[in-house]
Amino acid sequence: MNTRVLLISAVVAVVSTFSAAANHIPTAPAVVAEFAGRSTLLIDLGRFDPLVEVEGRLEDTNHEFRYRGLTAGAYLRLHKNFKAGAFYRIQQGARHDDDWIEPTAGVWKWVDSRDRAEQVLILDVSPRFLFDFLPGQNWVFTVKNRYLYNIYNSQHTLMVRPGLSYFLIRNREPLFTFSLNYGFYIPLNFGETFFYEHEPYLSVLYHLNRNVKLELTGAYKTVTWSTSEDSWANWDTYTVNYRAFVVGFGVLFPVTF
Amino acid sequence: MKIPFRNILIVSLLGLLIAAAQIGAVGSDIVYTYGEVVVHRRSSILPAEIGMPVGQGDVIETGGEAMAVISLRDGAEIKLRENTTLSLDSLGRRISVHLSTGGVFSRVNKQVISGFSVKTETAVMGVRGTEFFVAYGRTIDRYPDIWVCVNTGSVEVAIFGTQDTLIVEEGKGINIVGGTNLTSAQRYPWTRKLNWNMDPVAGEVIDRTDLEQAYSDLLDQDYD
Repeated sequence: MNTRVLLISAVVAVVSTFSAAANHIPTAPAVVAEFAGRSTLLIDLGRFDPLVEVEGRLEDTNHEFRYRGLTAGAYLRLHKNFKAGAFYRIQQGARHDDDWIEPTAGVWKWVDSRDRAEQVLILDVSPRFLFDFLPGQNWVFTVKNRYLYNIYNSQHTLMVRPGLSYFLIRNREPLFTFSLNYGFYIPLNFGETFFYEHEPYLSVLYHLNRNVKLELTGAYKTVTWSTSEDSWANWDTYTVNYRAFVVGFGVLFPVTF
Repeated sequence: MKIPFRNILIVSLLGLLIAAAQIGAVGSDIVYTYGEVVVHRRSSILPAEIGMPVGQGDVIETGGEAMAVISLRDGAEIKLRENTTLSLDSLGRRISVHLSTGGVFSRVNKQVISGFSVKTETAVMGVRGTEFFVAYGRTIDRYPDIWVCVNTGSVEVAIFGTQDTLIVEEGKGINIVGGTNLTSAQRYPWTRKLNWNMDPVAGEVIDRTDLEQAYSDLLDQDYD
């Protein structure tokens, strides 16, 4: 009899502990649709190509205009098949693992980071290869590698994004570019998973003319939230996957001097 | 025996006409060369020299890293790029040259020359008073592409096969795709690097523009 009571008590205790812990864990909605937009000015000075880009995203189930960023920097073409770039980005609305907080006891929420400016330093090395042995010949394989250092929280991230692009050429000029890429974000000093984010994405670029390009992208991203500082303080640990289908639009302005 | 003055005059005029016919036109000569340049005249090949007269029927050929400037009747100048073969088909008041390979810059004084044309395998570029550039591009289809760029004045481009014509205005260029398909004239950034100078005294005359720049470099099509 005593054993039975003890067993039931133990089960109740464990269940209640899990229920309490569940409140500390951010819940991810079912796959949501998000929207992203960007506009980029790319200046072609030969081997040296500066660029300035503004971007924004309508995120979460309520499509809140949360993330926005301004990036400036330049690429240097070191070799026919190799470009390196360095960029500075200032951004607001970025969400990090530690933004899941408990401001008052028992109340958990995401920090509203829209007013929080973060500075990010980016280094880019991207080898490219002409895959003209494929049918149609106008294929380019790229591996975009980016190292990102977020000064705000000292997070180091490595992005690796292999991609294959096909250029539809008319009168010796590209008319459309179709690209299939897969981006992997590897957290170097944070998180509890090997990939913080990963996403396959498809993009179509319409070369309206030499100076205006229109872009449409579709990505299926998976972001893994790992235990925040406040959750650690409560002795909770978790990893939660947030999934979204992101539709993106872009207007690009390449200018050649 | 006394030869009448009238006969002497006739013989002299005939002699002059024959001489003029032989060299094609008075005052056509090579004014500058660099590198290996030769003149094909009838069955002989002559090394080109500065001051060497050239005439109708001559074919001027430049080698790699070579170039030549030819003055035609003081009313037109032609600069040949490297690896170019140009035939001087007609050097009368109307000048016609035929470009077989490479590229040429042409400068025409409309006060002196009533008609000037550059023929290629598939098209003809006709002008009156202008400065323009014609060059063969890549051979992707049956015939090579032909690039035409106009620095001053305008050029009428006519395609032999289709009879299509197009006026290319100052500052613009076209690519005759596959030698037969006229594209719309536009301002190509790469043409800004063309060296139009033909006067060695005024500066560098060699045009080192890489015509591969005229084509989209797929490895440089990077937008993020």
